[in-house]
Amino acid sequence: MFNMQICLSRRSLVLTSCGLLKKGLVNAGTLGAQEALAYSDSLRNPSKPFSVATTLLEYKDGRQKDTITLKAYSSVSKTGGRFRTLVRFEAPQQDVGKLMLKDGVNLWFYDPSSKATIRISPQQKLLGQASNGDVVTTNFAADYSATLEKEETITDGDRKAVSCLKLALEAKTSDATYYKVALWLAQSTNQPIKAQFFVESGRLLKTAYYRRLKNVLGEDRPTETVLIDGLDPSWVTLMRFDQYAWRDVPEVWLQRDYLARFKPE
Amino acid sequence: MSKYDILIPPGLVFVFVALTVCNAWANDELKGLEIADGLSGRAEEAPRDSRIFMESTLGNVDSQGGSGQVSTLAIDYRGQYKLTTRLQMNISDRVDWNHSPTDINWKNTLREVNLSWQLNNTTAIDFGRINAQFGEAIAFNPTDYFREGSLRTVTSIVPSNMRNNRQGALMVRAQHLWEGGAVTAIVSPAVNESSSNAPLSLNLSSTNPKDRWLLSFSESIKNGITPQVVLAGSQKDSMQIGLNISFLPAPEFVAYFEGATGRKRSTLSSINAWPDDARQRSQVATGLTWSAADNLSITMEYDYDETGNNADQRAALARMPLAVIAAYKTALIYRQQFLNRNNFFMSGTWKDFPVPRVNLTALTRRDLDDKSQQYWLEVRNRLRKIDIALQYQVNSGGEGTTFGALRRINVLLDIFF
Repeated sequence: MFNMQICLSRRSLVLTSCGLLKKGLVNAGTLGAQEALAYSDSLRNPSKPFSVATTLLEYKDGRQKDTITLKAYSSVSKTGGRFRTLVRFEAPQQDVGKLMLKDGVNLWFYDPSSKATIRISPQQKLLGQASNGDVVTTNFAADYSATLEKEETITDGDRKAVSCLKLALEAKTSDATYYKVALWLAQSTNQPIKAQFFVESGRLLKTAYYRRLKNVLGEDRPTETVLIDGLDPSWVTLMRFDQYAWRDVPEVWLQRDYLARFKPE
Repeated sequence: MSKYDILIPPGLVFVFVALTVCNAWANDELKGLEIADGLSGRAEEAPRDSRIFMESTLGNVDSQGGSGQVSTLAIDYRGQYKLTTRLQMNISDRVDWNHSPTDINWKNTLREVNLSWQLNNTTAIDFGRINAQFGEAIAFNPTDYFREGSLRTVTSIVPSNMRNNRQGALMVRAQHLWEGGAVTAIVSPAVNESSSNAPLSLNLSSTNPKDRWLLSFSESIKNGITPQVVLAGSQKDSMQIGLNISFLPAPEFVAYFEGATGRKRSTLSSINAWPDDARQRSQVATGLTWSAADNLSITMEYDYDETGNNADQRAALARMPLAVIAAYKTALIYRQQFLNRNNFFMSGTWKDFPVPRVNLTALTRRDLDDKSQQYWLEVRNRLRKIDIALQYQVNSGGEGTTFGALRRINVLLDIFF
């Protein structure tokens, strides 16, 4: 199997082939890597309870397919630092009012028509390449151990060259959605630029580009994520985040028994 | 010639090929970004408090109960309205028109009309007609104590669709939440009125046949496992105890168990076709759902209902007049109980198969005691505000068995407004 790490800038090729600085990077960056990861999480996800509107658009087989609109209400759990998120479907009409609650790998689905709440798998796809775990707030630092792999200049989601730190993330809890993640953070700002998600066999599942930085809720945050399928790069799912707002989301609401009475603001 | 002269050319070829592949992959990703640039979000309507849709079906049925064309038309409405910051009103109603070889009728099902008062972040009280549902299983819910008498019109054999069209019971319900847990208490009074099949009847004698109460308690214990214990009783029945629990044995699997036990009569005894045989009886639904990465999801469930018929009761039932058997089986459908004790259910859903926006759903049910079977297949095309589906159902079994013999084909149209 081809080693994709060969796709490097000339500078990194030299560094890797020499094998001298790599060891230094690992030693110097291990602690820093986890901190950098935590900081990039805070850029993607506000630190206090908030709500955000998410639109998912899918492109496949040469044309735009489905669109789903969601409203997410998120809060950081007091234990574990993980996000707990309640998602309400707002479009298409067939799905209006349906709810999904995520707490780690525990997902609950509520259908207001049947009044039934059932547990669902985090593997289930919401739309296109976006799994349930993608559309809700994810805190990488809580579920993954990060090590600094190398410095690398890559093309970002706006097709500009960005100097990055490439982190290798390995799942450290059973709540982690993916087995391994490669994450590129901008060297100057620690903004997330790109991520690749792998299954246990090492196969690339999908690539994510984080782009369209906007100042929302006190920080510059990426407001678009582009997901590109690992096998079929013409299969693209775009997630747009909009209408960020601080929101009082009591933790007691983020549980199965509350779903039947949830009413959005 | 040194060994390096031999090694260098293959090494260069390897690097060249690797760089070419990497370059091609990088270009593909750039193309993916260009695709994303061109995607435009539809201007969606503002979120609404209600949903209304029209459903119509046209098909043909061939069964022991009659053969010919069948058609239905329904208007389905559901709304949630905030009256004040802490008071909410819920309304849910459905009108069904049915045309079959043996019957033409229409019925209104007032599923819910109630007020929900949120006292504070942790406590709420609801009163009115409420569709209170319990249970994590898919095909059979032993802890769903308010299911009996809740069906007014059977519109589908799909378990989730049957739950969509239930009418709630009059009740007062209180719920208190805490971090990781909740307690719910329900009191539902008897309504003494004569039974009516009139189209606009509220059917309270079916949904509120006796004074009933229910208490449920949930608490998160570990790894997100949140067992729910349910206690229920009535003025006429002994207390029933139920349990719901589910967990993830692996990320792609969901395992669940739902069980209830209490002193009960068998269903045949409850219609006075068998001596009083009240004793401790259990009901169980346990299953596993597997979700693949490519939108395929399969569920298998085993259901056991000790109120169902044993071998002696099946033999006695077989000697009864066909009309009695038919009425008994119909009553069990509306009570959402099994004819016999051991049952198997399996369903699969494949989203975006064989093409995007088309979902394939199939299910099978088997009565493991009388060996009758049921198969159902649906291909549904989900458009922007319209669903179009083709449905096919086959039942196989002898007279008097759970499913009997039937073939049915339907075209369904849902229009969402």
